[in-house]
Amino acid sequence: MIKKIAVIFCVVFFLSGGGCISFRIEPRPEPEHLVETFVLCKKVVPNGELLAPEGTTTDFDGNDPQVLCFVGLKNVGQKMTLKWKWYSPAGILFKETVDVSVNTTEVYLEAVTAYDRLDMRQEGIYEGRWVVVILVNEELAGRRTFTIR
Amino acid sequence: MILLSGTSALLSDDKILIEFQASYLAYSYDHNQIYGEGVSFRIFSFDVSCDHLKADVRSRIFYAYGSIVLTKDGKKRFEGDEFFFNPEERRAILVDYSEKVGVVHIRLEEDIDEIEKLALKEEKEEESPLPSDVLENLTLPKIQSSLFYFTCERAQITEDYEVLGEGVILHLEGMESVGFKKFKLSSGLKQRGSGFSLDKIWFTKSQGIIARGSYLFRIPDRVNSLTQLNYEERSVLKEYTGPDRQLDILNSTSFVVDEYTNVSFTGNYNSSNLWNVGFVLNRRWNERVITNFDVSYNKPINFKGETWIGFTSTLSGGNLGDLSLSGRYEVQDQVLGSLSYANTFLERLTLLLNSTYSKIKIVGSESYSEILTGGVSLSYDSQIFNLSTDYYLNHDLFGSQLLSQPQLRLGINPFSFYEGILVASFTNIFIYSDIKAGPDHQDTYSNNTIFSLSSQPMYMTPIFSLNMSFAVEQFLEKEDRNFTSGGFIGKGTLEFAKGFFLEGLYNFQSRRRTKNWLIEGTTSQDLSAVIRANPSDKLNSWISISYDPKNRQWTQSFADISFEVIRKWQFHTLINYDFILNKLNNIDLFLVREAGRVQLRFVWRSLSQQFSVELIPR
Repeated sequence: MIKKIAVIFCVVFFLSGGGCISFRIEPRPEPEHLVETFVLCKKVVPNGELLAPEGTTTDFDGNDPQVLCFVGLKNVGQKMTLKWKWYSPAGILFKETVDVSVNTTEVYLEAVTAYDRLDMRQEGIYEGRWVVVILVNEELAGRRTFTIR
Repeated sequence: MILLSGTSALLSDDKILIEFQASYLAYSYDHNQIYGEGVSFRIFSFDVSCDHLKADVRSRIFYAYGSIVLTKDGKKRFEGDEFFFNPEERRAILVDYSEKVGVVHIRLEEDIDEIEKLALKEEKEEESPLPSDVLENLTLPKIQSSLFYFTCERAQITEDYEVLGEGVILHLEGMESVGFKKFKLSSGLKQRGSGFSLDKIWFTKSQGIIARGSYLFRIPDRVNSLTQLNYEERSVLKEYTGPDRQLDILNSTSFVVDEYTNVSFTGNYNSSNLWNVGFVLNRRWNERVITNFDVSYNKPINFKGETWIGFTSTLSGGNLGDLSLSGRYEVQDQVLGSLSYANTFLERLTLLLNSTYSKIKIVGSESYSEILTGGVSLSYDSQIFNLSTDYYLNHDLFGSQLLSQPQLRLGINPFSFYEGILVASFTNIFIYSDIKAGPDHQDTYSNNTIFSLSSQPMYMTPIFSLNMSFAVEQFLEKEDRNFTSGGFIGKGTLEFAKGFFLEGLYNFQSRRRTKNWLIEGTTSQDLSAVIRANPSDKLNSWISISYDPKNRQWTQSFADISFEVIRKWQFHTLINYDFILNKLNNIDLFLVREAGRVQLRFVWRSLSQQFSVELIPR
């Protein structure tokens, strides 16, 4: 019995090991300014020192005064910029924010929250499938589509 | 198990479809998904670099975004912000967000004879629709909350969508664990290409050593053949009285002959001298007619084998109705046959006809049972009522018994009144049975009438509601075993805090038997209180206690408590206490980890005094 178990153990060890297990691999550092949350919502509320989205949805209608695009980032150690771009159903750039500078003092921030709004009462808003993108350091970091009815 | 399964990849020589190099790559075993940062990869003839990558390997959806650059033969060909690609369909979409959303469709065509020579065909479409949001729920935090996830710098996806990683670190429940030079990350996937696979080697105290392997042979769109081998070695067990070992071989092969015809073969062999084989030819004559021809042989343990030849044919006749025919013949003179027909007339009238004939050898004798059955059903369904009439015939040709059973069913569809607060329904079923057995003749009939009345929840205050239901049933039959029963259930619900409810239930049931002048019967009552808590997804529980007012005693208490402990670990318990016997009937305790494609459960059951650990594939 012991012999049989020893043979099985050796086979398992050979198959699973076979020189492939190494304990010296250095772990990779976690990505910086990681987009943790990127949602559309009707309201943004305080959540401790940060903000939190409320009423997340991708469907909006004429009764909604605004469309909010909320972003939550984590692991922010360096200065960075945020920019939102809103596109109409025809694919035309409808609204673009300026580059918003974040963490200019370059201290480590565990989390950062921010949002931009599309005012539904302004001219040029019409029904269809809209797109909003977020750029971090001028590079695309997220995209959402939403419907205005 | 993952260690064991992971080993087979190292022995495989699967072709690499995509190879990723990244500053950070994370793969979730639970969800079979990848998240990457600072990624570059090659897909067919293109070299692609991007800031971020998301991939759902199971659905073959790959999404790269941020600073997309596509180069071919060292020349920069495209730049953009998003790159969607599906290697299965050999199509990709590149999106650019500038003053206008630019969408470019790219078709990747592979020259099968010379894989290195890849042709690029591109087409710009001004009005191309933008792809919908994909993989929006795939985030690094989601991957990091997996039971098993791996991080590495290099990963490969094979043509069979297995994921291999190099320089891998395993994270177990978020904690960094052992490292591997090379590891098959996606072990356990069902879909794979042709070849042999050692699926499992395992040892249990009850089954001994178990080995499972399989061989898959596949010619795309033509042949699919899977042979599975299960072996159990029990000689290593101390107290086992059965055979020392058991072998099962199963084969399932399908072959597409042409657009209208395919054939399939199944074969099973078990070392305990049990085996069967089957062959099916499926032919689609046209859009309406499909026929299956089959031949099978089945050899059970200790009995003579049986060879069956048969066919099944379905005919969809549209307005003329649907007809189904089947017939099977066994070489020892056994026969099975069936015929059914269904049609709907005038939108509300439905006719069903069916008939079966069987002549089957009685086990252990040379005699046959021979039964002919038939049925016809005609039903009418209107907005107010439904009416159906059925006739069922069972003729035992061997035992010379004939049962004919007509029945009439009338029901009033549930209707609401008092502005929808009350709902009532009524059903009546009359059954007549006529049994002839040789010279004997017997007939019976019964009638069952059911009336029910129930209410929607009526809110007395914004947090307190009442609802009730009442039902009465009368059963009459020829032999005078007549019953009248009725019941009432009243329920009050108070939401005393958000997501927390206190419910009171009163239940009264009465059953009376009437025969000539005699009336006898019983009544039962039950009063229960329930506290229910489901304020969020993390807590969903209830506790109840019951009291019998008639006998003035507490009866039972139940509890079903479920809440999230930490990181998708769910604690669940079921408790039952019997006040009459004054004892705890049972407690079941579960600690469950939902991990995407598997569920890990630690279970303790008081009744069997058993503790078990279960890993259940989802």
